[in-house]
Amino acid sequence: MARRRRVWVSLCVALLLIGVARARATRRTAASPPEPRAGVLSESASSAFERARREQALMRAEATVEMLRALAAAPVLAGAGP
Amino acid sequence: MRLGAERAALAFVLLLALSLVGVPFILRPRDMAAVRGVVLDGRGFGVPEVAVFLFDVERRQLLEETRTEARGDFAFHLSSRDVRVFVRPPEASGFLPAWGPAHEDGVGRQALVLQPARGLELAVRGPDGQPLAGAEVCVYERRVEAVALDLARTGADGRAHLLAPARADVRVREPRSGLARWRFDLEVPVEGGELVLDLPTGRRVRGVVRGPEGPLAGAWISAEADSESTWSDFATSAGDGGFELCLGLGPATLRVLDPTAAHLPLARRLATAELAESSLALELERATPLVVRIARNGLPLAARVWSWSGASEAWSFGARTDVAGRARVPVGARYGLRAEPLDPAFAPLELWDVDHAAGTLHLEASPRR
Repeated sequence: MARRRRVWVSLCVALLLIGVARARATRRTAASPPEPRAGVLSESASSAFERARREQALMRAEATVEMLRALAAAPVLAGAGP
Repeated sequence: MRLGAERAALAFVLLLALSLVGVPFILRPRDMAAVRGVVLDGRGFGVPEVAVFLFDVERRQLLEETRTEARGDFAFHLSSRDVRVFVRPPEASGFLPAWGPAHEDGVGRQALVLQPARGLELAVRGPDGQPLAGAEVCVYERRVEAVALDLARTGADGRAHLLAPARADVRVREPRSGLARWRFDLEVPVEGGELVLDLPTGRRVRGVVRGPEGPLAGAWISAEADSESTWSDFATSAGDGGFELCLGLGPATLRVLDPTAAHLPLARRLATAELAESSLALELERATPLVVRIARNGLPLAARVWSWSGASEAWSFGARTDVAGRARVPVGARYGLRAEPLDPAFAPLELWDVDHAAGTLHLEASPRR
């Protein structure tokens, strides 16, 4: 009898915890979103953005440059290279 | 008897929970971690006998190499967590080299479509106007993400031949000083093109990046010389926060970004006298990381997200969303934001002059008009 009660209590506690977690997640979601507003970036921010995006893309591409260097230094399959 | 039924019910609930969260990972076949794919030409036909290389991205090491089979298929049985495929067809084939998707995008079988190559003759001259031998020249392609496609060194005549796409970015770097010069959005004609790049006189600039807690490792520093009004060079700060850049003469603007989103970006204009100092100190302010979730009809959408810091007038490091569509960007009390879905069918999202509020910022993408 006591064992069965323990089982039910465990199940109820688990369900309660899941419920609390879901409620907290829902409240967080509902509290957050401002509406996106398009076309309001200042001119300086817009031109700076284009530059930042390009620079960062090329900085991230440095990994591919280093891998090409590694390839140039490695022995390659016969006739595989240019 | 009743207790047995309850146990069975509990076991069922447990199995149900496992099937929802864990079983797909537990029972995932080991072979799914292997890298396989196909190399195709523009018409969709498999390209045989093309050299395919597998790299460990974190270590920047070549792991394995193979060739495509008769129908253009390839497979690597060596699996690693963070790998990337590079395909290099013979130059006589007329195709450009190509990179497979980055690990975060490279789920399942990869299909690499080869684009036609265009020839690019580069001539590099040093500050004295003479041909510069041994300079490293690199051709980049910028589509969804930028990649380096071809790399070479100039010969004794200061010239190098590279393969390029129709629209390319080019960098030349002098090996001893590290001085670099860029040419962006270069249009390369079908019949091939020529480009002359003159390297200016350069000087080394050293500095340290610090946050409120002390030296900051892994920060990205980029420099733009005022006189050239173009990007000069970039570096990453070392474990002690130190970095070294090679700049042209004259004032410059330095931008510092923290990819961990823990600090606000910094843009600082430096006069010639400051650049001549033995070591520059660049101090970053602590930021509040903001979690942004990009979705379409509730489903996560792959995107890159930047935040704008009005105080320093600089954009943050562009953070890539994870599998749940979430990215972290650094913000202050008020911020601007721009998110660009990687799928060009969706329009960029912008927010401007927003008060910071706790919690996740949810943005819903809409199709581009």
